[in-house]
Amino acid sequence: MPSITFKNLSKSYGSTPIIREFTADIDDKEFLVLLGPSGCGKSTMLRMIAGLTDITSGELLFDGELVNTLEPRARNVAFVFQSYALYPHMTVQENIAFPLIMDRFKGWYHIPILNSIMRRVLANSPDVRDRVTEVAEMLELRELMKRRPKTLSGGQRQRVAVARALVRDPSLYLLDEPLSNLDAKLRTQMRGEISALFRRVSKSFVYVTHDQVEAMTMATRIIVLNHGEVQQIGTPNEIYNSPSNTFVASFIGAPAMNLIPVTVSSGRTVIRDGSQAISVRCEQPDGDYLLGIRPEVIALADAGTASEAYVTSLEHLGGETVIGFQFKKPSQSNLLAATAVYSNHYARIPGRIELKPGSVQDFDINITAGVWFDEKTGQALNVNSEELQRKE
Amino acid sequence: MPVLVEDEKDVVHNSKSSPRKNRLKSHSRGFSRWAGYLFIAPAIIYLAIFLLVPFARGIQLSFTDSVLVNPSGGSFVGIENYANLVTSARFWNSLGATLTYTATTVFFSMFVGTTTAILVNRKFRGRTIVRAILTFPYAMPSVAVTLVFIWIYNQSGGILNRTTGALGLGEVGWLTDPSFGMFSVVATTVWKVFPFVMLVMLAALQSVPEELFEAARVDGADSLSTFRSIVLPHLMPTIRVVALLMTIWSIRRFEIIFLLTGGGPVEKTNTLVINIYQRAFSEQQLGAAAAIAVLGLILSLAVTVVFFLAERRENVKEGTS
Repeated sequence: MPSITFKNLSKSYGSTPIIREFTADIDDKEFLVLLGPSGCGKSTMLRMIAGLTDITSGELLFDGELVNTLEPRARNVAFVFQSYALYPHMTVQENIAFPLIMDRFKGWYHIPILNSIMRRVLANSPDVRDRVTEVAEMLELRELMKRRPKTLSGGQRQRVAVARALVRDPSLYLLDEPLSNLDAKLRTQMRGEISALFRRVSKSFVYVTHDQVEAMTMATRIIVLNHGEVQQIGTPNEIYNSPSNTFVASFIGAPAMNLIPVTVSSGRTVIRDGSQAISVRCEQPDGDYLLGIRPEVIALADAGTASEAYVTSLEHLGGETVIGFQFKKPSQSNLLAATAVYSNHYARIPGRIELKPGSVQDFDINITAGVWFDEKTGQALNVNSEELQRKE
Repeated sequence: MPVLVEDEKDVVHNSKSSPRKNRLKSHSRGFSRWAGYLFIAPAIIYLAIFLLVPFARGIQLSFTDSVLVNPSGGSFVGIENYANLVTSARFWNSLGATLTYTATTVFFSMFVGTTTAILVNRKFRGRTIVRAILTFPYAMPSVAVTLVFIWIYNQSGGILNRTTGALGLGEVGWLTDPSFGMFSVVATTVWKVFPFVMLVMLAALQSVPEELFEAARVDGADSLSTFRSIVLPHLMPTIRVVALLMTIWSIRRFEIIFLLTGGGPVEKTNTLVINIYQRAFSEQQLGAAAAIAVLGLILSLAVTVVFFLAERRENVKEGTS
């Protein structure tokens, strides 16, 4: 049941760095999600924790003990692969029992003929049988025990993969995008099942995904990665509400956080795109900033009472409406390709709102709920002190 | 023509949803149907002339007492050729030689081929060159290989006898001593054909998904268990097919045996194929030779049928049929 410590962990293939100086401390029994776009090094990170990939430099510690060179089995981890990696010629039962049989396998069992006999003896031994049955029951696989993986559906294979990981009662569960091959509905269901599993076994989980919904719903702690570098470590709430830089801000949320270029001079905030001023006074020193505002914080306002902008797109999601807008007057072609235009901002308004693209509308931008970013470095400026401490 | 193209498209689109409409439009497919036969015609004609006709002629010959100088001059003798065969010790010896040769050749070429495939599948310096060198024997013409081996096996001054002599093991008539004839022939054959097994096995080994090895590592399997539990079952279908091919080829192999021993010493390596050749071209008994050929064919067919039955049972077991 380890706490995991990463000390300046780096990985490079030849001269190409994949992970740079990864440093973090993860408590025992956390559900840690490694989140980032494809190619950010999150899977490599997970494979290093598992011991499937060598660590180039730095230290990886479980409960303060160096595990850099330990074989996967010695680390007592379980790994659920993205492709499930079920053994195709074994039945579900044999797949689940395999780690247990390997645990009890002795060197001299390798002698031909004896090999097959001992394998069967071990598979039929009461402790193996009972444990396999127990796990199969937990994951509702009892009816599928005699089937082979290729006759199973995606969701069933997923459950077998989890069962095989679960059966040895490891102290650390590593999951590499386990839901990415499932359809949307099944994914939602499996998300719930994995969360329930986490609560039931109460062990440490490390979960890799590029899906922010999975990260937000399942994690107790999230590490956002980009280009092999840690962008932010925090709870889902911290990641969502106080992103540490513009990358995290624009990666989390659908639509993502609006980044509005503004200029502050003596307490007056002016939107640079359209030169409208925001009426509320602001405490930031004079200069150029990116103002990060979540779409749901923005409200519609009556004409002349707030910041005037041009509506570029409308998406009705049933319960709410996502309104795309920009401060600069859009050209006709901008309107046609509205969602692709970079300068677009979004507001999420409850209910069904009818607006005409191209029309003028006032938006109430609540800067007290905003996050200020340095325009050049992209770093957040008024991150709270707790957050700063964690980053140290 | 444009109309035809239009119809073709339609047919393709509707081929699943409405077979009736499909049938109504089938007249427009007349051309393409005949075009299809046209394309396979050369192959069909070729097979008919060079395979089916000789095949039928062979069976017909086996019921006659034809001789080499006048193949069509023989008269119908019923099953006399077959009756003579099953009562002749020479035929049974020949069948035994075939089975011995086939079983040992298949076993050792499978073993050597698979083992080398596993070895050269590992990563090491110069792997590509080693793989290339190992495929040389298969690329060399059988006749050249055999001539080199005749020289190696040469009783006085052959490299093998000089080696055994120097080691104090004495010299052996590798191709003339009845106890060593079969060994020499099998060794030469294995050397010649194992690269084929190696190449196919190498391809099969490389198709084992990488995650399976990783899963096995996480599950705590050592390399032997990984091989036994993951690699070997993955190779089994390939092993079965290659073994079948090797069996059929061994039953039919001629040039290596003929050039090395010509069926000797004292008929120890006189396989069915060599026997057929001797009957037909040395003893000029075409009818008798044809009868052996038919029995040989039945042997090959029996092997194939047994193989496919085994394969089907395996599939049923895996639930894929």
